Amino acid sequence: MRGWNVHEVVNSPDRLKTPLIKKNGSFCEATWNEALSLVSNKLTDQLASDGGASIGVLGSSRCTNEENFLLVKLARAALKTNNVDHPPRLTHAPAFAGLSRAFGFGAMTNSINEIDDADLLMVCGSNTSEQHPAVASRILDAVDRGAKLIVVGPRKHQLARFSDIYLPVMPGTDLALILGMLNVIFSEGLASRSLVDAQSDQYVALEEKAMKFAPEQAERYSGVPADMIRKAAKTYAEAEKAMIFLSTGVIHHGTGTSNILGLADLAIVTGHVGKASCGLNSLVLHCNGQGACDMGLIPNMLTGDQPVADSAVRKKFEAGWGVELPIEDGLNAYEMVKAAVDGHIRSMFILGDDLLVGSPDIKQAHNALEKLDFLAVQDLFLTDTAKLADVVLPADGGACAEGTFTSTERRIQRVRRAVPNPSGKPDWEVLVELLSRCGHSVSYSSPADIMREIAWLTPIYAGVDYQQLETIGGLQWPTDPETGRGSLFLYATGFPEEFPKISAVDFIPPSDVIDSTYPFLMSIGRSYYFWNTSPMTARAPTLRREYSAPLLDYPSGLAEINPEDAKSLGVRDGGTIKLVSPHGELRLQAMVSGAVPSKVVFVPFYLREQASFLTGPTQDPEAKMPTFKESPVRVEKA
Amino acid sequence: MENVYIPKIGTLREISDELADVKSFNVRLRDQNEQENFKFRSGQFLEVSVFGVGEAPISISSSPSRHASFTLTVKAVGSVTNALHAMSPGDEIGIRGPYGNGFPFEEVQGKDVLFVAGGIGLAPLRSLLVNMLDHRSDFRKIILLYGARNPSELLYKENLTEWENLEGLDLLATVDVADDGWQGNVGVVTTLFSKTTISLENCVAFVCGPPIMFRFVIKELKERGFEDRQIVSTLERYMKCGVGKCGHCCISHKYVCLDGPVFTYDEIKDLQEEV
Amino acid sequence: MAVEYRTIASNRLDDLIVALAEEAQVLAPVERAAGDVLFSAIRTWDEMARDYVNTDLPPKQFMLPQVEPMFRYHRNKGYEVEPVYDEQQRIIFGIRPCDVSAMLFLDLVFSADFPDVYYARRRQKATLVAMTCDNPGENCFCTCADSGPAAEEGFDLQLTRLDGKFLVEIGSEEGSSIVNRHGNLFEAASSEEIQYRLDHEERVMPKFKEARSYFAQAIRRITTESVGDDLWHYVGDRCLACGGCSYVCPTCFCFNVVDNPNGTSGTRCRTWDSCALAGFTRMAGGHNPRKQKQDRRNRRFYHKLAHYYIEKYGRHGCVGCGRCVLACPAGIDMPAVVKNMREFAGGEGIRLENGLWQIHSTRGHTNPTHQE
Repeated sequence: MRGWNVHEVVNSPDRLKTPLIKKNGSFCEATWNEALSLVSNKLTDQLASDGGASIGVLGSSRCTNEENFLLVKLARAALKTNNVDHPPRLTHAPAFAGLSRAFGFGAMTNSINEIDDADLLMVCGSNTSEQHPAVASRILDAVDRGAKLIVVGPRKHQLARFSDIYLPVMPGTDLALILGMLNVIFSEGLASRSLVDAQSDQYVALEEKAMKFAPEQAERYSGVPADMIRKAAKTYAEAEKAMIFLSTGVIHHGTGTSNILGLADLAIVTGHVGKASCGLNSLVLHCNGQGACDMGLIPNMLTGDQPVADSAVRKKFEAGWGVELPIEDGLNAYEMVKAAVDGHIRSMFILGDDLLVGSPDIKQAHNALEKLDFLAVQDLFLTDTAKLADVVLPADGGACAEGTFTSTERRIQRVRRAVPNPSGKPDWEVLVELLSRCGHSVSYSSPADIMREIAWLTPIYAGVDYQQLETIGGLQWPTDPETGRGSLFLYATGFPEEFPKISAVDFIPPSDVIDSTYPFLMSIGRSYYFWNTSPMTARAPTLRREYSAPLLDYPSGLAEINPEDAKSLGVRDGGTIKLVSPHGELRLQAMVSGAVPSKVVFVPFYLREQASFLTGPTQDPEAKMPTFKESPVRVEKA
Repeated sequence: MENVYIPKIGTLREISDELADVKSFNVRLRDQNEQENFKFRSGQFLEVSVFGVGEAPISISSSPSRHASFTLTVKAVGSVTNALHAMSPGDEIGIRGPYGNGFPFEEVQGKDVLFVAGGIGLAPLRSLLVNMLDHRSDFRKIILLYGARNPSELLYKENLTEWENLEGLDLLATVDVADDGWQGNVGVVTTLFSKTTISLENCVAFVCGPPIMFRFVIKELKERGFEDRQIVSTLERYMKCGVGKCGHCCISHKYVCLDGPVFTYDEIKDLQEEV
Repeated sequence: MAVEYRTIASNRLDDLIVALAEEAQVLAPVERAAGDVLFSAIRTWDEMARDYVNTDLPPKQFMLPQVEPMFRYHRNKGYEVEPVYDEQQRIIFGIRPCDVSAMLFLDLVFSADFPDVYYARRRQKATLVAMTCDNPGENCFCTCADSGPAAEEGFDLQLTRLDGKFLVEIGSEEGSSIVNRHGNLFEAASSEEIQYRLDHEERVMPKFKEARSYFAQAIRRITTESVGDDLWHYVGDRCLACGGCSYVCPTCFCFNVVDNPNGTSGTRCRTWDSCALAGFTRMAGGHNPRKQKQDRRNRRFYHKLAHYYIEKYGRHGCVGCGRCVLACPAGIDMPAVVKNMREFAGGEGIRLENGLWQIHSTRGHTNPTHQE
């Protein structure tokens, strides 16, 4: 529905048309010359006085690859900083980390088309119908044709209702379920040795751990009945072509990376990876979330998963760009905000991200941005973040951009301008100008040139060029420069020696445990009509009408609660309830729903602003990302 | 071809507070000719524009027999009605219409008329009632049974006082919950039925109020022997055009803005959708 | 008026297009990047798509645009309102018979009761040059809806492909006037050529994917309200409420009206809306008579199929163009739902158990909307 109404966003009269400079607290229109001069002067001054570590650059998962690439160049080549990130990565970093560790690439192992031939689809932590309807559509088609569907998650959402096996796992306990399934697989001799040597240390370690985790124990932690765990395990293992799909429901935990590694182990020991219609697939939430990572909008990575720490990689880029690149570890978006509050980061450039609305801690983000000496923001609208800036630059947006996006299935596709940009200056030209003004001149005649450079520096994008993309309609990395072909699924020709890797992670029960004081788990998840931070959907009248629906029915905000729990609390639909956690409290209206399991309340993402006061500060240790998903709370009738 | 989407301009004259969230707006069309030629039937509605905010369908609560101006009684529930509430005398609004089929008037001459109203449901019925009182000899017995949640939520308090003493009208009012000053009946509006005599023969009932009241009143009327076609009510729907084009007010194959908003009970009882 | 025929040689079509483009905006199916076919302005025959079944968006977009300004208002001392009208002359070239039928349906809707002046003006300035279909698309079922593979009325001109030329049927005075204005391009049609056109339907019918369709049966079931609630619940559960079906449907016309203020002046516009969306019937106070998706789906199919509308408008509300098959991500397009009405209308075989759908088809389907 967002797509059918995107014209409302594109044509909105609120679109920024000219650069703005803040003078005496209010914005004045400025010329590009004035604005870009100011931005480049301020940033280069900051570089000179406190070094690159005092600058932060944030990009967007909605920008084209070419724009993000130029932004990375601006940060690293011109401003000498590795403080480069894009905030939505928060939601996916554990997935990328996990997939990378297990298979060598931080991306889906398969393609969406392969769903058509799968026998079994296992969907974990993904309300696919609402967040990835195109994928849900293919899954349902496959089910129509006889494929089996296993859905794992605490909420019986739309796709779950069409499943063959539904596993209502308690939030934060996915790994317990996975270990229970592995137990069944090993005990019943369903493990395959095709991908990993059964004598290897990793295989042995995993088998040992799994054998100690009987389904009954898994049930104790996860709430999923043991017999269903057995059924699911057997169905998954015995299927010939099985694909796992996952999204934020599994990633968004203190143990997000571990969950991914657990699922990877499951795929590996059943031989369900590295073949057609077999693999592990994380669904990225934004149109160019995959691309943003591919372009190196990550503090410790250059393009295509090439680490900054690798001296050979650095030398290659330094040769290509003609400058020395910074070596110090960069900060991620979350850490940048903390650093700004602490005064270590003094200037920031933010492209296309409404940081304030998307933050896990909005108060902190607000403080951070206010404390900065200089903030420049480039966006479509005067968002809350933009309002705090010293300079605001108008941005392209999807319908005006000319470049490429890389979809969740690693497909690099052309994006063509459909509507002229109201400001008259495409983003990539703005960034080229900024680069020059910051002392690093570059020359491109078009975004095609930029892609040529990306392809040259990035092995997984090798040989990609626009002409090819026009004819084929998209190319999936890793590409083979000789044949010009992309990869439908990873490792079609076999795994290299070091992959796949079994991780054999331990299950750690959630740190914020429910107990008699806080007997409920509050889970936060995305809702249909809001797209991440929704600066765009709020401006489309049809979408706004649909979005305001929950607010009309539940003006104080809502929390989904199970009918039995509602009954025992004496609460009716629409009645006010109080959620209390060790960190704060929140009043919302109850939406009584059979989709939610007992002892769990589900709060939609757009209420995160308020709900963030309740969540604890747990972080995923490997990805260094804060946890969003579950917090123990007490629920009372208010 | 007339462009039915272009509003005429109306000027707000008097604005009076009826209830906490309900105001009455007395309006006159800015162009004198237009006002002189402005004719409508009770039960019809206008599409009222607050320029820059939008349009909302609002039934006319003044009688067609009073010509100098017309009155809209509006509850503030959405963006347009809230914007309207923030306006002052002299401000301008857009007016399109009148639209809809209106209550039967000539058709019920010579009959007994029973009005049953709940809360703000009295607003569209007032237009019809006053018109009937202005043509009193054309009708036989006229009864108004009116109920609200509490005395402060009774609409048109001035009218009610006037009507209490009117000979040609039997007025019975009730509240669900009384306050200290209330002297009248206490109970839901259906409790008033036993306090008056209604003869079924040649009688028409006009019912307007919240859905739950509607259900109970229908039950009461049917128990007393009313036939479905003797019961008349008015439906509300989300509307964007008022002229049967935008599709929003469709119920089965009827458009509330064209075939309604006034319907007899037999026309709506079998409609597949919730009323 | 008795139908008159001419022919035009294929190599003279370019001359015709060039000439027409001088008189009006010629809109024809054009193939865009990534294989989309959309009506776009052309000035030469070459720009037009060659082997197209139909456009992805229906031609209603020119009579009822996705966003249409209705009037501008501004406040001097008091408010002044000026209507905004589109004055473009358009020739819709290559419109398919199903879309012609849809256009006639919309003509009836917009001229009924209170005629819609915006639609009327655009429609009056539009000329329809139809192209009959020789090869039905995979999803086409116009024959079930009585709207193809050739149009019987409603076109100004209709072309049928012959060998090296096209047969031209003149369907209106405007069509006649075009032929006269460019008389040098047209020739007489022989009786064989005319017969070829008269045999068109017989020739094309066997190429349709389905030998039978259950369209008539679906109309009967919907009209007699004999479709079980469970089926609508199932369809509603699959529905993503995206609105796509309404946007691509050539007979859908529901619209929303929005004011776009700019200080004390502004524009009132209308935009496409869809009964699939929850807010379609939600009233300001929050009451929503079609809160459940199954009620909205029920409404859509009722509106498209019920006999009442066939009586009122003399035409089917669905013209069998098949666009919803491509647009719907949930597999509940018109052909799919028609099929499952046949199978599950009685209400047996579909059940929600413990919140999971259980399907038991006597015909061995795992899912009622499964296409055979």
